[in-house]
Amino acid sequence: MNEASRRYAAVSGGFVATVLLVVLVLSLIVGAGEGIQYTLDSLAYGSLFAVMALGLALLFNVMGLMNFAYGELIMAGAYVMYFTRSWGWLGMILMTVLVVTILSLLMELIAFRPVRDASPVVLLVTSFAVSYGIQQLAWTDVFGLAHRFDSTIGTGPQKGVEPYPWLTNQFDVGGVLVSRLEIATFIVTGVLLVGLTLLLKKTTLGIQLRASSEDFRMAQLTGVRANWVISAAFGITGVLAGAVAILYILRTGAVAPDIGQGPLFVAFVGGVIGGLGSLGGAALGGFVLGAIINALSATLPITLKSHTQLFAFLVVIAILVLVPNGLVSIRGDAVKRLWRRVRRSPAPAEGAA
Amino acid sequence: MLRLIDVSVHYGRVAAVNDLTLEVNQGELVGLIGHNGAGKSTTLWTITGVQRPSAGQITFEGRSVVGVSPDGILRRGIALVPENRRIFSRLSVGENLHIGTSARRDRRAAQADVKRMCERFPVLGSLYDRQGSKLSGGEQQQLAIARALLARPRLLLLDEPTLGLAPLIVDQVFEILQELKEEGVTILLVEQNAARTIEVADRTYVMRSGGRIQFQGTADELASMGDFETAYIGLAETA
Amino acid sequence: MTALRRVEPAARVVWPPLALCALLVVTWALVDGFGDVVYKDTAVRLFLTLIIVLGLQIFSGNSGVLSFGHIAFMAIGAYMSALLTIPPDIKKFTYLSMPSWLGSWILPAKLSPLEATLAGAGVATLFALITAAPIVRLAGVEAGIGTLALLIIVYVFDVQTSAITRGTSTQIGVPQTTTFVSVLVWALIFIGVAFAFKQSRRGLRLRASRENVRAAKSVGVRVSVERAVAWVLSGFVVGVAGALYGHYFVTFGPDDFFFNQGFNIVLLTIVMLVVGGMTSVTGAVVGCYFVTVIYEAFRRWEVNGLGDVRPPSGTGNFVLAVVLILTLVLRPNGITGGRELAWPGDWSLDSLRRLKARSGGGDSVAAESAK
Repeated sequence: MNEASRRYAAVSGGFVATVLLVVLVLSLIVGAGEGIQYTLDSLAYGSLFAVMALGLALLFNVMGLMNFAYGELIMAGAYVMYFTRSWGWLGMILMTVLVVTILSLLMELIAFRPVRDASPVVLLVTSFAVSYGIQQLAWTDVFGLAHRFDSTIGTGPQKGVEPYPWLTNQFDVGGVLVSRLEIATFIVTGVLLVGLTLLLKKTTLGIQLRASSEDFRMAQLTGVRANWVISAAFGITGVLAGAVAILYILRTGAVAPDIGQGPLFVAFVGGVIGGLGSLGGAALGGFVLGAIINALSATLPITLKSHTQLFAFLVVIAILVLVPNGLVSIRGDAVKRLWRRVRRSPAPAEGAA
Repeated sequence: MLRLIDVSVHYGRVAAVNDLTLEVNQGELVGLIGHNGAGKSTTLWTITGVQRPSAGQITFEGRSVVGVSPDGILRRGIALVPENRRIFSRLSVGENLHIGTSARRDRRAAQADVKRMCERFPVLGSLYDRQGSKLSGGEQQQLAIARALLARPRLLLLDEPTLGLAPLIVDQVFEILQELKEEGVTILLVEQNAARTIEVADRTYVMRSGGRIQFQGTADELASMGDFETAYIGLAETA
Repeated sequence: MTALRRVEPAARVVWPPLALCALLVVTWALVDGFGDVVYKDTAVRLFLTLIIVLGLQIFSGNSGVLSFGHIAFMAIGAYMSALLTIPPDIKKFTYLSMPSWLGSWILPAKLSPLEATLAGAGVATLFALITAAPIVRLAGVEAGIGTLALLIIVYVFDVQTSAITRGTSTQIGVPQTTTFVSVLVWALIFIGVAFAFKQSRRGLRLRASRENVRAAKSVGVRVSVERAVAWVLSGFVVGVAGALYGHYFVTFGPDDFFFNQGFNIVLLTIVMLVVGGMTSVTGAVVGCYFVTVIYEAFRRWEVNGLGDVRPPSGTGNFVLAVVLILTLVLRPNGITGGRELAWPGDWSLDSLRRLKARSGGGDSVAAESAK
C-alpha cells in the first residue's frame, strides 16, 4: 500500500471510527434510541468543522499561515446573511458566499501578501491583527452595524437570522428525527470535501497547490506563480467559509461580532490534533472534535460539563506532546516510535510544518 | 549569456559572496567548483532570485535579472536543478513533470515534451505514477533534471547533482550533462566533484570562501597553473 | 582617553539596560509629577504590561517558541497573592467553602505585600515547573496550542473552583498595596534580569537553539533544559506581574486573565513583543510603549474628542490593528529589528541606512538557502 492509499485508508477509517465512537458514547449517556438521534446532529456539526479545519490546513500548508482571521470570515458571512435575509434563500446564499470570498481575497492582498516572506511568528501576529481589526469594525458604529436596525431576537448587539422552519422542521426517518438542515449539511459538506479533493488531485491548480504546500520556494522555481496560487488558496478558503457560515448560522440564528471565535477555536484545535500537515487529517480532526463537543454538550449534566473542559484540554496537551504531527501520522509501529519520541529531544523553535 | 559583475551577497552582516564576477556564454558548459561553504549555492540562489544581491549586477541575455521573482526567472529562461533535488515527494512522477511545465504557454507542445522526456529517461516513464518519496536518489536526480528541462530553459543551473549518489549513477548524470551539452543547452554546473567537472566543462571557475574566484580556465589552462596543483589536490581530497 | 577605551566594552554591555531603565524612570517622573489620576493608571498599566512582555521575551524571545499561556502565570500570581493578603476577618466570610486543607493556612494568613508577591509568583513558578516538561517539547503551532490549553485550563479552573477563587465573582478585600513606585522598581529589576539572562551562557545556548536546533544540539546544547529554565524564569516574572496587578486593580476576576473585549491582554502582549522585536529586550520595551501609546491615545480621543471631532467607540482598536499590520509590513522583524539599543558611538547615518536595508526579509531566505 503506498503512502497516498494508506492516508486515504487512515482518514476514512477514522471517520467511520468516529461515527461509531460517538454513537457509543451517546448511547451510554442517554440510551440507545436517543443516542442515534443525537449522533446525527453531532455528525452534522462535526462535518462543518471538517470543512473549516480543511480551510485552515490549506492555508497553513501553502503559506505557513495560521489564519486567525478565519473566524471573522464566518462572522462576516453571518452579517451578510442578516442583511440579505429578505432576499430569498438563493439570494442570501449567493451573496454570503460571494462577500465572504471577496473578503478572504482582500485579506490576502492587503495584509498577508506584504508579509509573505516574514517568519511564521510575524504571519501569526498579522493574522491576529487582521482578526482583531475586523472584529472591532463589527463592534464599532463605524458602519452603523451596531445600531442600524432593530432586532426581534435578543437585545444589545445580538442580531438574528430567523431560522427557516422549512429547514429546521424535523421529520421522522425510521424512528429518528432528522431535519432538512442536517441533511443539507451532510450533502453540502460532502460535496465540498469531495470537490476539493478532486480539485487537488485532478486539476493543474490542484497540483500547483499541493506542490506549493510542500515546498513553496521550489514550486516558484519551477514556474508556479506565487500570487496566483496563494490567491487561489484564499479564494477556496473563502468559499468554504461562506458555506460553513450559512450552515452554522442557520442552526441557531444568532449573529454577533464574536460569533466566529468559537468555531475557529474548535476547527483550529481539531485540525492540529488530526494533523495540519495533511488536509485529510485536519478535516478528520475537525470532524472528531466537533462531533464529540456537540455530543457531550448536548448530553452531559452541567456540573460535569465545566470540569470536562479542563480534562479535555489536558488531553489536548497530551496528544500534542506525544503525537505532534497529528493523529493521522500514527503508523503500525506507533507505540515504538512514540517511546522513542518521548525520550528524544524537542522540536525546533519554528516547528516542522 | 549570463553575466555576474561584482556581485556581493550578504546574510545579515556576513558576506557569503564578495565581488563575484563570472560569465557563461551561449552553448558553454561552465563549471563552478570549490569547497563546502565557499558560496557556490548562494550564487545560484542569487541568480534565480531567491536571494537578493547586496551589490553588483546580474544580466541574462542583456537584461538585468536582479529583483525578479523566482518564477519570473524561470520565465526568462533560467531553470534550476537544486541541491538535494527537491522534487515534490508528495506528488507522483507525472505530476512533478507537469509542474515543470507550469511556465509554458503552449499546452500541447508541453504535453508532447512530457512524453518525450519519459522516452529520454525511460526510468521516469516506467515510474510515472509512483510517488516522489519512493524514488531512489538517482531516479530523483533524473526527475529533477527532467522537470527543469521541461521548462525549455535557455540556461540550466545545476547545484551539486551528484551529491549523495552512487558512482554508477554519478556516471549516468555526467553522461546526461554531456548529451545536453551536445544538444546545445547552456549549462552552469556547480559541483564538488572537481575532476569530472573540469573534464566535461568548457571552462571552470574555482571558488574560495566568500565567493571569491581563485582560478578559472579551461581544463588545459588549469592543469598548467603551478599553484593550481596544490589547490587541486586540496580540492580533490575534500571531494 | 585610554581609560575610556578600557571602560568602553563594559559600558557597551550595560548601556541598553541602563538606557531603558532611564526611560522608565523618566516616564514615571513625568507622570507622577504632571499627570492626573487617569494618566497614572495608564502608566501603572504600562509598567505591568511591560513586566509581562519582559517575561514573554525571556521565554519566547530567546527560544523562538511562541507562548499564549503566560497570562496563566499572571492569574496564578494574582489569585495566590490576593488570598494571602486579604484580611483574615474578610476571608472568613468570603471563602466559606474553601476546603480545610487549604483554608487552614490561607485563611489566617496576612502577609506583607512583598511576601505575598513572592509567594504568588512562587506558586506561578511551581506551575511553570510542573508544566515545563511537556511544553518545552513542543514548537511552532503546537506550542501555541499547548500553551493556549494551559491558559484555558487555568481560566476554567478559576471560573469553576469558586471555593478557592470565588469563581466569576470579583475579589473582595484585597488591599491596594501596589504603588506606582513599586511597579517601577519591579520593572527596572526585570529589565536587568531579562538582559542578564539573555547575555548569560544559558541564554546564549538557548538563543543558539532558536536559530538552529540541530546545530545547537550538535554542540551539546540540551534544548529542553534550556527552554525549561527560560519557561520557569518567565513564569516567575509574569507571576510577579500578576501579584502586582491583583493588588492594584483589586476587584479582579477570571476574565481579567483571558481574552476579553477591552484590552485583550493575551493577544496584545504577544503583539507588543513581536512588533517591538521579539529577540531583544529593547524590542519588548519599545513594543510595549508603542502599542500602549497608540491604544491609549485613541481611547482618550474617543472619550474626550479633539476639537469637534470624536470618532465612534471602538475605532481606536481598529486603527491599532491597522497600525500593527503596517508596522509588520514595513519592519517584519519588529521595530527594533530584534536588536538592542545601539551604543551612541555607533549611531551614524550609515548604520541607519544599513539598518533600514536589512530589516526586511533576508533571514528567512538565509534559512531557506541553508536547506
